[in-house]
Amino acid sequence: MLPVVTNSLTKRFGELTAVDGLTITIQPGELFGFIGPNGAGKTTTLQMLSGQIPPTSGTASVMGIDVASDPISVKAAIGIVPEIEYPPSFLTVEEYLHFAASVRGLPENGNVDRWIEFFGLEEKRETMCMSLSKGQKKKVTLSAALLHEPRMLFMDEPFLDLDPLIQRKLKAWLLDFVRGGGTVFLSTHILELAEKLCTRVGIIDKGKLVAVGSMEELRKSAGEDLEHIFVRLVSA
Amino acid sequence: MLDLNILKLMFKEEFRLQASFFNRSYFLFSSLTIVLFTFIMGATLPMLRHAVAIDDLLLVAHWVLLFYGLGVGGFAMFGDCILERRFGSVSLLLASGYTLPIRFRRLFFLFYIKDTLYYIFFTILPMVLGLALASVFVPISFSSLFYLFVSLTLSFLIGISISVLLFAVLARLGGAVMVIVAACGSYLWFMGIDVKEVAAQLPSLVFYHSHSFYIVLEVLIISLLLGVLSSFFIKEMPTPHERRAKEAFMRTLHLTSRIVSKYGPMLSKDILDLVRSGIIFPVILTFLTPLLFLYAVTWFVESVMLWNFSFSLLFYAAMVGFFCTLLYSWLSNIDISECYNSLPLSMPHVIRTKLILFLFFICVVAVPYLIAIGYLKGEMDLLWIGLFIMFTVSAYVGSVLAYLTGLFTNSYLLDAKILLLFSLAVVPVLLAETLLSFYYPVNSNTSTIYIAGLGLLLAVGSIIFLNRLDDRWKGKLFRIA
Repeated sequence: MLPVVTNSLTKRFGELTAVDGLTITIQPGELFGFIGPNGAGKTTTLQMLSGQIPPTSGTASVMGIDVASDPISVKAAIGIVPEIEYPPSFLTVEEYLHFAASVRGLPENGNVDRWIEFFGLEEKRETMCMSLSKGQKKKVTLSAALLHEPRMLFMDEPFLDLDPLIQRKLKAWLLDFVRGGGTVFLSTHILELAEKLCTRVGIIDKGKLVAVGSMEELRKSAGEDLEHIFVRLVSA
Repeated sequence: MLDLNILKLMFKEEFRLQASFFNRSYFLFSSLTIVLFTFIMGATLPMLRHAVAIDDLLLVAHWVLLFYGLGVGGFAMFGDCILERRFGSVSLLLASGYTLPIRFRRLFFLFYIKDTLYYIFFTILPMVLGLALASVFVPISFSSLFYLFVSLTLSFLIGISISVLLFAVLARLGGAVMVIVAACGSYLWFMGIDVKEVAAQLPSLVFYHSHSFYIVLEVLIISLLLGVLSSFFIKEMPTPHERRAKEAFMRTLHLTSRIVSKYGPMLSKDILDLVRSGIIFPVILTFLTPLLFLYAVTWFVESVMLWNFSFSLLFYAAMVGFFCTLLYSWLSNIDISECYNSLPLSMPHVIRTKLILFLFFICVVAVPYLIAIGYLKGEMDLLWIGLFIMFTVSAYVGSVLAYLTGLFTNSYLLDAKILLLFSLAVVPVLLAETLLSFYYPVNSNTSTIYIAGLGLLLAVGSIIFLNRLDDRWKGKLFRIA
């Protein structure tokens, strides 16, 4: 079963075509980087693939489930880390994770303690989410996405606002995760990160996929880094 | 000059904040309602005099304004909690002191002035304006209206300045203040003070009767001093307070899952949100206020206008069912729902959870209200049929509203098409129930059969709307309304 398969996936908002005929396939064990300028259609693609918004046309299946006809099953099978995090204000860190675990039908306490420990949130366990810093909110959102040990992750700028120690820890975990057969769809602006972590990269501009391949496949000449490739393709 | 600019911006902010809570025409609509209400009161003053002494009316009006001021002051201090639930994080101008070189005390004092002027302009002025319009038909002198405007403003000023000081001190000195206030209240109570006599000594009321402008000066100076004093209790370098709580979600979940297993997690989360944000009180008050208003209006029509309408418990039951609209509106609109996008939750599921909460609040607020009305009117024999009407009407209105507006009730009801559909679905039902409530004393057997038939139709209608929630709301993105 392929984690992600799309065929001419399109999303329109009125006159605006945010994503235009996207066709990609992502293999198990891939850390797929999705990069593009602001407003290129990265978040819209991620929202369609993770069952948050329906496509206007085309098809997409995630973990073998059609995203248009069964978005809830898609969300149940995957982990989603949105770019902007909104954990409920009046639940504590521990309570929100219990809430996420119970919505996902996990046994009592699920993996809550494990992820609280992983992200160093022990001291904030009883703090209401409204009192957390942006970085701490991001950690809570990441924990909620990982509780059920999904085999496919959709992450929109997951490293934003995280401290360097946790960034390093998360990078190592993600590499282990994909080595173990897990799949990651990573939308990011940080090209160095994509270059270091991703096995394959897709570049989107004005809703269209302008390039896709491994770093080796995308390079035109020896020594060309992702930033040069990105500027060359997007400027063109 | 800077203060004036900040004050102007604070006014704009207040407008936009109110608009986001309710809708853009809210201020005008609420002010016009006040004008209409006081116009009717004024126009019926000659009849009103037969039912209640004018001095008593004045006493009540001044104390109502004082309590209104207390409420406004309290809301301003606790507003952050409510806004946090609504928007996730909202920065008011009041918080500019964190990033701009301006003292928090100065901002606080300007905020206090803004609140005072805003409510004088949009509440007290329309009250007097309604009476002024009524003076075309009944003898009310303009001088008495002027004095009334000043005295009601003074009442409001006393309320808001006490409230703001109390909450500002409370934030610094904690529960000790509440203990002192409670102790003073208890002392006065046990001393056997004549409450009415004490109430009549309210400075604003004394001014209305004496026209002594020394009192105006006194109240203005005292209010100003209280405002300045309050600002001294504001910390210049406030440390953001970290709110903590013991785990309560799992305990709540164990309880709710036994009743509604599928909706347990969402329901538990909503219950904790409601309690911890303090929003549960405005929710209950929002529900109770129109119900009390309805009682006042029917009392007015029966006792003051002496119109020969018999507003039975059945009429109240239908109206209570309709007022539940406001309750659903609160429950659907004050929640941060963005985080649900990344969880396997659908919008119809969340809407159904709101409807379960809606039913819960009807049981704990509307049912006791209906019982109280039945008891007061000596119509307890009509209670069961009244409860049947209330539950069927509220279930129907709630289902229609949930179907048409989902989690975006306030903004969707501004859509003319949706408002028209809602009116077409609900108004005929209310009219039919009202007519049946009037027909009941004439022929109770036939009326009961019709009420039962209509109730069944409403139940079927509710089921149809609930079953269609999926078609209408499936696949919609959770977002701020």
